[in-house]
Order: sequence, then C-alpha cells, then structure tokens
Amino acid sequence: MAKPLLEVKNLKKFFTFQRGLVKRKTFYLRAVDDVTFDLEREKTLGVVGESGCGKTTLGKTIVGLYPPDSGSITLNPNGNPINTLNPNDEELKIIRKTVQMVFQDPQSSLNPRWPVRNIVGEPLEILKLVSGRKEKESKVIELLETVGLKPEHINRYPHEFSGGQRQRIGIARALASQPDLMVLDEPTSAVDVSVQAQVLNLLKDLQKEKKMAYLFISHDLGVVHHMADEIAVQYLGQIVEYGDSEKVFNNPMHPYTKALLSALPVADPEFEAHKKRIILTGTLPNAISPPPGCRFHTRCKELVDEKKCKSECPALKEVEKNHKVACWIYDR
Amino acid sequence: MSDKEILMEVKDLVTRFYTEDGVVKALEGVTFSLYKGETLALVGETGCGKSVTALSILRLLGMSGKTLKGEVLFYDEESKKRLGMTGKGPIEILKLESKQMLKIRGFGMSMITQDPMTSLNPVYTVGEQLLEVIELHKGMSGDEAKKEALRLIEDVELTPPEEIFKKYPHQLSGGQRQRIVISISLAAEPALIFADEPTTALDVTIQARVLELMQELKEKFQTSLILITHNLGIVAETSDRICVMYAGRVVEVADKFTLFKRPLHPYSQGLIAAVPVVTEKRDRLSYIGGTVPNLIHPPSGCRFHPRCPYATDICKEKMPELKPVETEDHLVECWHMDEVLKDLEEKGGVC
Ligand SMILES: Nc1ncnc2c1ncn2[C@@H]1O[C@H](COP(=O)(O)OP(=O)(O)OP(=O)(O)O)[C@@H](O)[C@H]1O
Ligand SMILES: Nc1ncnc2c1ncn2[C@@H]1O[C@H](COP(=O)(O)OP(=O)(O)OP(=O)(O)O)[C@@H](O)[C@H]1O
Ligand code: SF4
Ligand SMILES: [Mg+2]
Ligand SMILES: [Mg+2]
Repeated sequence: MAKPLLEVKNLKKFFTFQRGLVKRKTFYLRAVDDVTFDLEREKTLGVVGESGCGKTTLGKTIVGLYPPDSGSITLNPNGNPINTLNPNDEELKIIRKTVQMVFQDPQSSLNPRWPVRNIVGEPLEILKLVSGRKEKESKVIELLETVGLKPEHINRYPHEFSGGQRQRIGIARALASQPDLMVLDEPTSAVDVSVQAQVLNLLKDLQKEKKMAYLFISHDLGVVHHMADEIAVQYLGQIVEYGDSEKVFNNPMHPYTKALLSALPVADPEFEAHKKRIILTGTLPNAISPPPGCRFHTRCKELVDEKKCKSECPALKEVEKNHKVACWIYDR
Repeated sequence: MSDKEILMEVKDLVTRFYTEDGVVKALEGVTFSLYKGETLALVGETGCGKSVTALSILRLLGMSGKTLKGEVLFYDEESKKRLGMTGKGPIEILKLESKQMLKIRGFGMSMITQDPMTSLNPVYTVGEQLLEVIELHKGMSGDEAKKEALRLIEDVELTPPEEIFKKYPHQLSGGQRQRIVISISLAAEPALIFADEPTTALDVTIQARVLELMQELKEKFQTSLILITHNLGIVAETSDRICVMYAGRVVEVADKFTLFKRPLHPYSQGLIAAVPVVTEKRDRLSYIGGTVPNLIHPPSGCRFHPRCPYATDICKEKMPELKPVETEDHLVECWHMDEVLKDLEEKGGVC
C-alpha cells in the first residue's frame, strides 16, 4: 500500500512567554499538544473546534511557518519520504512546492502594495518554476484563469477586488507551485454565502483536476461536512475525535463533539426543530494551564469514571472502523 | 401564533446617506409588519440594508443619513401610557420629538449590537450602567434599584451578581459582556428588541447559550425581537418569520419553514440553495452569479434584475411590489411569480 501523502506523529507546538515583574517565569501555551494523523492523496481532512483550540497553529506548523517543538511531519510527494523537521536544501525545495496555505483573511495575507502580477508570480520566481518575464506572465495569467479571474486583472491591486475575488487571488498564489497539499484556513469565513458557494465549488473542482489533498479548517460545520472526507475535532490542542466524516456527523461519540454539533445552528428549520441542544457549562479552561486528566472534564456531563477522567488523559483509540475517540467512556 | 396582534408596522421606508461619492440609496421602500412576541429575522447579503432598517426605525442614522419617507407605526400601549399619550391609534415613531424618542429607546425598543463594547461605557461599572437605566426607566432608586440590577444580572446567568456588579466592561469576557448588554436592553422591559448580529463575535458554544438565553427572556417578558444576522443557521434555529432583503428592498416575507423549504423570490431561492447544510450532502453548491449592486447607482426596476435568471424587460423598467402568493402570509415581490411557480411544479414542489 502506498504511503499517505502526509503523516503527522505526536506533533507539539508550544508558544512560550514570560510573565511576572519581579520573578520572570516562563509559561507554555500548548497550542498543539500531541497530534497524530495521516492524510491520503486527493482527500480532505476537516479540522473543527472552538476558537483558540489550535487549528491555525496546526496548519501553520504543517506548512513550516512554525517550527514544531517535538513530533514528526513526514511528506511523501514522490515515494521518498521527507521528514520536514530537518530537511536538506533539496528537500526544502520539494517541501515548499508540495505544501501551500490559503489564509483566513485574504485582506491581511495579500501584500496591498503589490499588483496581482507580483502576488501570484512571487512563488513562481522563488521556486524557480519559470524562466524569464514572458513565461512568468503567461503562467500568472493561466493561474488567474484557473481560479476564474481574468487576464486583465493582472495589474490590479488587492483593494480593487471583492472579498471573494481576493480569496481567489490567495488560491491562485497557493496553486502556483502545483502543490500536492493545501492547508485552507477558514477560506470562506469572510465572505457571503453566495460567494462562499462559488469558492467552495472552485476548490472542489481544483482538487479533482490537480489531485490535491486538503487540510480544511473551519468553524462552520455545514461547510466542513460539504468539503471533508474525514474530520478531526480539536479541543485545547488535542484531537478528541477523528474519523470518516459521515460517521463523525451521524454518530458523534466524544461528549465534546456531541455538544459542539448540537450547539451549531443548522440552516434547516425542521432539523433544528427536532434537535436536542447540549449546552456546555463549567469553566472554559485555557491552553496555558490545561486541566489534568481529560482536558474536557471541567465541562463534561458524562464523567464516566470521575477519578480517572480528572487524573488520566485518554488516548485516541479506534472505536469502530475509521472512527477514533479519546474518551474513557469507550476505553474501559 | 393563532391570534396575531400587530406590534409595529413599517411602511415604505426610504433612507439615504449623503456621502462624498454620491447619495447612497440604502432603503428604497422597506415594508413589513411585526407581531407581538415574535422573532422576525432580517436576512440578505452584506450591504442590503438590514442594519440601516433598524437604525432608521430607532432614528439613530447619524449625521449623514436621513429617512425621507415612510411610516413606523408602533402599537405598544405601555409606551403610549408612559409618553402620556391619550387617544386612539399607534405611536408614529418618525413624527416623535427627539425628547420623546429618547424615552421610547428605553422602554419601547432597544438594540443589541455585534460589538458589546460599543454599547457599554468603558469608564462605568456594570452596576452603574444598569442603575442608570433602571432609575431612568423604572423610576426606582436606592436599595430597590440595586436589588433590581442584581436580579437582572442573575437573569442572564452571570454569577456571583455582586461581583459582576462591581466590574468594568474590560474585566469581562466577550460572552459575558454580550450578556450584560442583553440585561441592560431588558432592564426597561421594552416591547421590542433589535439584535444586530448579537453573537457574531462569540464562540459557537457560548453563542448557543446566549441565543437560548435571549429566547427564554423573550418568552418571559413577551418581547418581540428583530434579529439581524448573516447566519442562516441561527435564523433557522431562533426565528418565527423571515424577511429577505435585497439592495434596500424587502423581496420576500414568510414563516421560517416555508421560507427554507419553498422560497419563491428568485433571490431567496439562490440564497437558500447556496448554504451547505449537514442534513444533506450535495456535490456542488449553487450560487447567485453577478455581484451585489452599487447603491449609489442601483439598478432600475427590480433591483435584482441584473442577476436574475427570470428577468425580462418589465423587470428593468418597473419596480414590483410585495404581494401575497399562495397564502396570505407569504409575500413576494416579483413580476414573474407564474414562471417561478411553474418551474417549482416541474421540480416537484420543493426548492
Ligand atoms: N504566534 C503566537 N504566539 C503566541 N500564542 C499564539 C500565537 N498564535 C496563536 N497563539 C495562541 O495559541 C492558541 C491557539 O491559537 P490558534 O490561532 O491556533 O487557534 P484557532 O483554533 O485557529 O482559533 P480561531 O478559530 O479563533 O482561528 C490560542 O490560545 C492563541 O492565543
Ligand atoms: N453611515 C453611512 N454612510 C454611508 N453609507 C452607509 C452608511 N451606513 C450604511 N451605509 C450604506 O447603506 C447600505 C446598507 O447598509 P447596512 O449597514 O444596512 O447593510 P447590512 O445589510 O446591515 O450589511 P451587513 O450584513 O454587512 O451588516 C450599504 O450600501 C452601506 O454601504
Ligand atoms: S422581478 Fe424580475 S428580476 Fe426581479 S426577481 Fe422577479 S423575475 Fe427576477
Ligand atoms: Mg484560526
Ligand atoms: Mg449590518
């Protein structure tokens, strides 16, 4: 069996900062804390979870924008696995080509003083994918057309575009290196539903055409359900449930996933009318001093084995085929 | 809602903004009614006039905005009594003097905005801000007023009330602040609350609690709610009826089940079809082509015609009017309802 395109093992990314005036103490914010998963070619993994649970940090660490503290990220673009933690120059070039990221807010991720020509052309130049101005220009135009923009847009600046068009520029830039994997961080959260529909359709078409894998981050469950083959539910830096999208949606098993799914309003009044909502109470912990044991225990209604829940952290275990959960309910 | 009692009628509101680039024709004849105790949702793309509708009714448009035409009839007996109005007929909001308007904005109608910090005063404690409203609108003072303030804090489930009472807004989390804004809006027990994107800044799990809370308080105080949001999920969850707006016009009004299942205006159909939902898996999403119109130079006739698949010459020339279609309560403005209905028949009745 071919190796998956991306293998993430026990990945940790902590942010450090100092606090205190007299005695400076170092604190760790455990943004990504022991995350493990695989992603196959041409598949989409959706990552969901509350604000601040570490979704963006996970994405940025995978594309190499943050150095991880421990664990491994392995890419298999062409049969030779590359460990992205300490690559040589040749491997670094392959990694940069293989993985790209589209950011949540197109406004802040596109250089406002550059025309589209430079924004989309830059990765082509850096990665030496084109030689000469002519070739660069025709490649940029080709990329613009791929994402449904027009050749004459090449000289315009980001502020001259609508939100949806700006998001397309970000996608065109990411596509420039013909990546095998794209990390899409809330690619439509800044646009209207109608524009969102266009961008999502475009992403699906491109995925088929270019055979890419997506890591798709979003807090909109409808959108994730539409896009993803598999879902990872993140809570305070950890994956608490992981599996086949239909399984996680139709049969959520972790108490947090159940609450999250029930809390999200769905644009279907009949579904809403029959839905039972689980409202989470209890203190919302933070990632600097996460609770011991199961991190969810401060808000969990189940607490199957109170002593264990409060002292031991459950591991992510396969409960049914392609469906893993980290909870003592399923591990006794 | 069997015997529906009208709380407010909004008729033909026309609002303009005078800017350097030209006159923004933000509202072009907005018309709808609101029943007692109901939640009416205003939905539509960004810039379609949802917030301006609320601000026009509350008369908070600011210096550059002006409502040129229209009527807002407010049938709240309590407000009439408090204003010392005798005689029959509703309060004509747009004709009130500004002093009366100030009072109405407390005990008649109040507003919850997206960013709670804009409605809270950063230099006063939560308690001071609550007391001010209670003293002004309920005529209480001293211990009685303080007791009432603590009760209101408890109502929005913030504990311990005495602690919260002493806090400044910046000492609270986003969700806590939004609850304080809600409790201040409720302090005067208004007949109507406008909630403009009340939970957009909040996390999903906290959002769920705030929405539930608003629902409970609404039932307890028999308040009507005008809910403004982009999020069609929230609309499906919390509203009774829905008003779809497009470029400064109300293009369709219906109860929420009808509107999601059988939207009739071509724009509403496009809007609903574009939303991915977890209850069904579709391979592709449909969307409305074209872009949101510029309201300085809005399209002639039906403002949706440049993007509408049904548009013909009459759509370019004349603006259609809201009319009942299929039932008395389902209002649509469109010249080509016959074609739309025929198409629906062919597709088996549901959109
Ligand atoms: N560069 C940074 N330096 C320090 N802390 C950071 C940094 N980036 C993120 N964090 C912290 O790490 C945690 C995870 O943040 P992250 O942005 O990954 O969350 P998220 O799941 O993407 O949230 P959202 O849904 O709000 O985008 C948060 O507590 C955040 O404050
Ligand atoms: N103070 C103002 N000056 C000039 N134009 C304004 C002003 N306020 C609103 N507008 C214009 O009026 C129109 C309606 O705006 P409104 O804020 O009601 O939109 P909305 O439907 O609430 O959109 P959103 O969903 O983005 O909040 C827009 O074209 C907007 O640009
Ligand atoms: S009136 Fe004409 S343009 Fe407007 S929605 Fe109906 S068919 Fe379309
Ligand atoms: Mg993020
Ligand atoms: Mg608004």
